[in-house]
Amino acid sequence: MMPALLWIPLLPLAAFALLITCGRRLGRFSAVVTVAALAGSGGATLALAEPVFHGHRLSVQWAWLSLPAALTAGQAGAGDPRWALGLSVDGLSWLMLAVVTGVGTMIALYSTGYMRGDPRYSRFFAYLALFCASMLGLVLADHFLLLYACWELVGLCSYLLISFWFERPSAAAAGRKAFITTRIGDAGLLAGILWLAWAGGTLRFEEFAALHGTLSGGRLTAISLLIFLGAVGKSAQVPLHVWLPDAMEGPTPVSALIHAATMVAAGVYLVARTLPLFTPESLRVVLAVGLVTHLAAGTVALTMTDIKRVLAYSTISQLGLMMTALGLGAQALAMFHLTTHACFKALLFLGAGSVIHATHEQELGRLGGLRRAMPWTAAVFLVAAVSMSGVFPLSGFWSKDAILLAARHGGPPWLLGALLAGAVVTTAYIFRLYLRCFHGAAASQEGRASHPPHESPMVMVLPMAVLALGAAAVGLAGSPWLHHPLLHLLGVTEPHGGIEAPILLWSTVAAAAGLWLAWSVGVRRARPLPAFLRPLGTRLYTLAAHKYYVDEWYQRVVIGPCLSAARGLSRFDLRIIDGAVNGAGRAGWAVARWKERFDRLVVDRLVNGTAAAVRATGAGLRWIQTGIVHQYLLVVVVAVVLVSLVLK
Amino acid sequence: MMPVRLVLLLSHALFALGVYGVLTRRHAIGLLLSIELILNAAALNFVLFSRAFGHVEAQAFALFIIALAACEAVVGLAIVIGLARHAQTVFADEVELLKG
Repeated sequence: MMPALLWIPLLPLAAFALLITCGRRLGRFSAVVTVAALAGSGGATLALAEPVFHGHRLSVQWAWLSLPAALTAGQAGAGDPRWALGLSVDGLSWLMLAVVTGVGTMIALYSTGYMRGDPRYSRFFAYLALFCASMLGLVLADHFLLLYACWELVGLCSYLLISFWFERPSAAAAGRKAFITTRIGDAGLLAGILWLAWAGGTLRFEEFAALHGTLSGGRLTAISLLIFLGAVGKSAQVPLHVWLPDAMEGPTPVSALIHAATMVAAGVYLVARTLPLFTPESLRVVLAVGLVTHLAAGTVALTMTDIKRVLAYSTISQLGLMMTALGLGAQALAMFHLTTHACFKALLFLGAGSVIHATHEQELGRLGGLRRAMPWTAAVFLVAAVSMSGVFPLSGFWSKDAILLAARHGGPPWLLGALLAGAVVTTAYIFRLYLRCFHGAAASQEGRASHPPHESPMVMVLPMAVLALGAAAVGLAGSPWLHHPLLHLLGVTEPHGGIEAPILLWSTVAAAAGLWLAWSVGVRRARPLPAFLRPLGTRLYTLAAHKYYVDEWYQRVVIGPCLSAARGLSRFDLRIIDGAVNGAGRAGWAVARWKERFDRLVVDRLVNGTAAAVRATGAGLRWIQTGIVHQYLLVVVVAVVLVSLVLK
Repeated sequence: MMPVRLVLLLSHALFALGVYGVLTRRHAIGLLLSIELILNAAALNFVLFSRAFGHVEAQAFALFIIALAACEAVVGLAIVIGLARHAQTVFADEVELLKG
């Protein structure tokens, strides 16, 4: 009997194996396979809940590598448990398991409706299952090597799913961009892992806390920053965030599952898992990167006009918030926000997918007034938006306010202000999106008559409803009302007690301000700025609308030089290398021609000349052989006479 | 007592006569006859020196030469008949089959 722990990643992996080999024959049934496998993993996760909540740690291990004694001399010795790979569950990973299986199941269910009629229907579900299997493996890994393997698999699945509709050049390009950009971060992560293994001698997560004594601070800072670089790539933090908005070329359920709820959260999970390695200096870097990402991406989200791009920048911004919390050392709060964010952001994406499914349109300018046609979608979208804005008492409130509290108590004074500004921006962009999509006049109707917008099928609405419940209520698990069971699960013994009135007040004011901004500027297009500030406002708007020119900067500073270097090298190849090869060929040919001439003129003439000389000699001596007997006899007689005269 | 010098003279004369015949006869059978003379000159010499020096073994060579001459005459006549059939002539100087 295998432990429930093993079932969790193996079920989706089996589903992937089944679908990739005979998915074509399964047809519509392939969706059932994936949904059932994910639900099974979810069930296994729930079965583990009880021991985990009691603070136990479950693990399964197998020896992966036993180093020969010569290599381990002076260390712990052969058969060393540091190289035993395994799966293990503690509070942190259980929470991620719950998020991945829960959101994953809902989104797989939703995809059965969304992807209907796609020519690669079963292929889609195969990739989805592989993604979930590797994500669950990543979460369960108790060893950095296993985590890294799953980390790369997750990146691969992301690539496959972003460019799922690879017939569109933009989708193929987006997949490439995502893969290459995250690869830069992964290189850092790999370097960090190798350095850690070399300097620290262990890659097991549970032994990290002990490394502070053995490694110098500077070295630890460098290692942790390299690991953080991997998280920056995967979680789309500045400056490696450019791939996530483009990743929206993939099917919307993929955006919801991978590029909003789970995979991008892997970076946050990684930092939370390796937090014992982070020194105060590296935490300061994490904080700075997180905060810059939070604010910059939020302001860009204000200016985007594509639904999915707004949500993409919103995701980047929220991941920045989680990183900020990690920078404060508040690992539990970051994971708490990750959980609530997974619910409401998946829901927002599914709602956006529902809109796109109904109208085949994702430009905000051409949408509007959908509330009447799609009441369910509008309702769940509203729930998610309110939750994200941090309105009391929905999920987003609890997690965001916990971070604000931590910032107030543990951070510099300006940090709270910056986070409140971020909260205003968050509310503003999400309500701008909501109001312009679902309220107001129905936008231009040309072409709409053929297929009027309609509510999505039941199989898509149901998962959204479940997620809406989560978006509303999951936060309660971390609230003081229920005595913070979630934070206890994550190992926080003394959470900040209660709700602090000033924070509650400030965050409500921030939400209200954001709502007002969204309504007046985003929808009614009022101009709140006094006239003398308007040129500045316009400049700032242009800057944000161009995403702070990061893509252009990359194009000019990184991609352009890379391309011209590649072009130069290709020219070098064509001219020099090919020239050398062709020159060698031509030289060989010339030598062969010269040798051929030598053969013909010298060797052949020698041979033929010998034959000709022999023939000429024979012709010259022919006259002697007359054939007349008397002459021969005469020669004989004369010769005998002469010989006898000589020998006399 | 036979004068050795005289018999030697005879045998030389026979030999010279044979060589002359070989060089001058056009008729193939004449050629064969002349060769017979040469052979007999040689046999005469053997017999002469056998008598003069008392070596009986040398007389055996004379008998060999007689047998050889018989064989030679057989082969030579066969060639002459073949030649007559093939070239319709028995004159040696009209045949040049060995010409290079």
